[in-house]
Amino acid sequence: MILVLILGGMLVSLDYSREAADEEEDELTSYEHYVENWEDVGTGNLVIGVLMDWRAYDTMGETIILFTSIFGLYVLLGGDEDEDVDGG
Amino acid sequence: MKMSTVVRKSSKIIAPFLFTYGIYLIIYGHLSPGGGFQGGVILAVGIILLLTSHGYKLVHESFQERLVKVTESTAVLGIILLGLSGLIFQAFFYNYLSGGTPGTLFSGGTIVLFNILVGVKIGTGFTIVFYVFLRRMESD
Repeated sequence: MILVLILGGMLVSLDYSREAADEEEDELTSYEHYVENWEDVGTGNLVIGVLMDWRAYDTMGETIILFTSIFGLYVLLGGDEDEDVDGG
Repeated sequence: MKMSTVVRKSSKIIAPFLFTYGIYLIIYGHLSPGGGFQGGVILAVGIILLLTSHGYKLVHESFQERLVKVTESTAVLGIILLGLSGLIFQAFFYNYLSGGTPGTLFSGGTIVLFNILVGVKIGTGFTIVFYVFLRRMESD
């Protein structure tokens, strides 16, 4: 409980410090960066440009999470009728 | 668990269109709204529609479970290999095939390949989930 509170406080303070930094310096936020450099990816769909190019490792992580969950489901519930019970 | 003749016939007519639409969403995902996840889900919905209308046994015979499992695992492996192959050129998931005029089909580079792999993985993954749950339901 205390640990959760400490971590939450750290997150909130990080967020506030970032906002302060944004106000002081005139840096581009991530949204502006994506819109400005849209031509780099050469896609018509900016959402896919973010998901599959700039944040491709994130999408790969999502896919691996889904694969792991399906694998776990198969190990737990499946494999009754199959002749090989190796879990795919 | 079989539905009436009307449902079976009409789902047989609709399912190929669903598959075609899913494949279109995957391949043109970088140009128009859509993408790998959405197209893959529509692919899975086509199989689920057939599952609910025709029953578990018939669909399980035409879409072999072993083949579905192997396809899913191969797609995941392909995604990781695609990410690692970017290391040869510059960085992890570097888009080394990019180029071409924006707005055409080949403008995306590795994005198209990545979309296709993700779509195949999602479609087969949800199919496996439904196979497992339906088998569980029918055995009880």
